[in-house]
Amino acid sequence: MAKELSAILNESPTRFVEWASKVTLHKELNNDDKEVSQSVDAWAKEIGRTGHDANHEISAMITKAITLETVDNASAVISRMFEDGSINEFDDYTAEVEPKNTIKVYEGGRGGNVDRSFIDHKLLKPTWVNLTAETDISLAQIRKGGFKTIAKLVADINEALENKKVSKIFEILDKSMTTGMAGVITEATSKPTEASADALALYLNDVLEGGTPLMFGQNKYMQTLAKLAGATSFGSDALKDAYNQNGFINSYAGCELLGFSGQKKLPSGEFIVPDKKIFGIGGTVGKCITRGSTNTLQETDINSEKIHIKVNGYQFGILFTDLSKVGKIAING
Amino acid sequence: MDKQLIDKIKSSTTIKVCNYSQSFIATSTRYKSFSFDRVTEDGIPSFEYLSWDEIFEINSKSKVFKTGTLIIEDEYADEIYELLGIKDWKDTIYTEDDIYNMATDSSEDNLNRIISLNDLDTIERLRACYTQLSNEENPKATIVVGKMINGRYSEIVNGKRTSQLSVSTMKTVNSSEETKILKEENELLKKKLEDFTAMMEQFKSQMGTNDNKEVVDDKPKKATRKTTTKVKK
Repeated sequence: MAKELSAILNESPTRFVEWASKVTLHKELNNDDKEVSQSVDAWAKEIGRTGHDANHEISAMITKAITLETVDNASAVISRMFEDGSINEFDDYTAEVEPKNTIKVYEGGRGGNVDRSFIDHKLLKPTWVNLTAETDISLAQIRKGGFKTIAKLVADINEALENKKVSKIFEILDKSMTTGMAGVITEATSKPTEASADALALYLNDVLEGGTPLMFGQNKYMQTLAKLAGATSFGSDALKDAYNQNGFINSYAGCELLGFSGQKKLPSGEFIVPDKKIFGIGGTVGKCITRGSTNTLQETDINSEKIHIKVNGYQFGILFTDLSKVGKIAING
Repeated sequence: MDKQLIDKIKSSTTIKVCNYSQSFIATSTRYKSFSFDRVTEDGIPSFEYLSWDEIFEINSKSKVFKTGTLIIEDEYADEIYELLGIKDWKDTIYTEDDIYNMATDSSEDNLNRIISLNDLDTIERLRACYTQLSNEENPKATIVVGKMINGRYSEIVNGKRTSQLSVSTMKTVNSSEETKILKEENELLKKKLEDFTAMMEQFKSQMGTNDNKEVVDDKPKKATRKTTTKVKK
């Protein structure tokens, strides 16, 4: 049985995660998937009986699942803002900012001198974030559920780490923009108005370098944008179709719109996309660098009949090289 | 306030509202939306003329007048603020100077004041002022104030109204304390020496009157005992 399992794990990188997500979402399994379920079931119940996982195969499954990237809305937004990169566990990363053009040109006499202007170079280091997760899974649960328990464990850990990473990136982005900057607009009431939405769209179109700008925030703000005068008076048929189908329009004043749920929260009670903010992107602002690789450690505790699982090494860094390409509306009402 | 003045204010349509802050502010009534640009580098604010109804409605939906983000400039400003429900407006609103003082003062009172802030408006203005100072590497922007501001900002964004941060001063006994103690000891010994020499003088003069002789200047002076103080380490 163990041989079959390792054959499945090595088959293709995404095989195991696909199977795990199909099981947790109660989708229909084909014959191939059912074979995977059978072998995982037998192996899992054996572990549940003796508590002895010789080759730490549960950890191997979890590690394989995490090193893949799941593509969804939030990750798509992040890849528009940041360039990717990866380095080893014990390395560090520095970047040089492209110097601003501060050369001043004067009108002077022929053969004379004028004051020199300096080009400023800045050497930047990223902000590193290190995420860990720990959980227990009881042997009785493995015996009872078999392959379903293992599938749920793998899918849950992967989702939790991804969501926390996205929420952390948005938090860092939010903190780096203060109200004195050119792209930040303070909205005094509790919903965006024409003045603030137009100002943000204007700023994004000004700093744009190719492509279309994107505005995103929680769904309640996207709904308000659909009712503003700019959208209702200039709305094309395609926009009205989108509103009737989805409940939200998909563009405003030349910017794409994207909404996130205002009800789905992390287990700690925070939102994935922050509340009271609408962000706007006009280009890439920096780099998102992953460092090292994720490790999963496990230990069996026969006194409380549990397997203790710890995931660490999920480390990433955010480096801003040019903050002028993003803006936000800070809703203070 | 007499009724005539109240009526005059409530029917007025040209009350000046200014924005002296560093941020672009957008606000609206149910019919119209207004935008206030940033203050220029020379200190000239951007302003609009609003009517009493519009100011009343904006005040009911937001905190711009209560926190001092937008300031009303009018000859009847005191009465207008009172009608809006803001008492003693000159003490309770935060002007730009107040914000600057809060961002540069690292005393314990000021840190406690930062922790007690509750609304997003003021903490954002404070954070903007502090970030600007620390980017210019101005020595007035201290690290402890920065930590307080950023910590309180994270708490407010996550919805915590009462803060879990606290400030306590450290008590240290360092070498200046020791030298103080030694100085006090020296003072005591000096005083004792003075008392002793005074006693000697008295004793001398008593000796002189007992012999009924005048003290002549060319008499050899008695050697007085010198006292030395040894400082123990």
